[in-house]
Amino acid sequence: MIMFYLCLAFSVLWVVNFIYLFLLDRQQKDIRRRLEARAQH
Amino acid sequence: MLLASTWMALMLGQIEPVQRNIIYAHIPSSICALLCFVVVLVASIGYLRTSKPQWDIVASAAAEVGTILATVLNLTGMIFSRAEWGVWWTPSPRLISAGLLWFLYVVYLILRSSIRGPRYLQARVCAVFGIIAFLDVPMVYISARFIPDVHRANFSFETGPQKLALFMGIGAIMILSAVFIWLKTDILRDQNKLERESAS
Repeated sequence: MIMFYLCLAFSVLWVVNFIYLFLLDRQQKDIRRRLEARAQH
Repeated sequence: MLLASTWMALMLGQIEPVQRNIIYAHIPSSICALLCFVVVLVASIGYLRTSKPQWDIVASAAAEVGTILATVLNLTGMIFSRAEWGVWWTPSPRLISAGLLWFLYVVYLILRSSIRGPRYLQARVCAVFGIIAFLDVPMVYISARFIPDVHRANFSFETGPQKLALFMGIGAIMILSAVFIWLKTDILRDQNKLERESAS
């Protein structure tokens, strides 16, 4: 059970940080797409 | 670097008993969350002094990244608490102040997205709230040192690999949070540009 908690703690560290990185990447791509669309009009 | 620090912590720098190795995930997030909130404080003061929107953008980005790290800090702390003391949470000064810290910056982010009206007003209110919310940061730091607490004031890392694993973890999370703040600042700047163009 102790090993489970250890794995859980490191998984939380990795998963939370990488989900946030993924979200930032998506936000950045979306905003660039909107800026490009605006520049074309 | 994060991968290397995790490997170092779990393979070379092991602490006995096993559950105490959770602090390799907990301490770097704690330090970096508190540093992000220092950035929020500095940027908020900078905005109130100069009224330059760049300061507001940096404060907003640092608050968001700090909240993410404070989430990791509280979650890993809860897991450590369960493994070490058998409970998910207990009302100790350090745990209450850390929980309050997370709550205050979540309120900061909600406040930022909910204030309607001119942008300068939103930025000014958030800067004032950012300064007030920072008052909890020294509380988190000093709570376990000056008030009797189940949470230890500090952990000693005796061997070289243990110290190296900890410093690599801190370095990795510090670089990661700097990248997060930089990316978020970029996004917010582009968003402002888009809003300005839409308005004109």
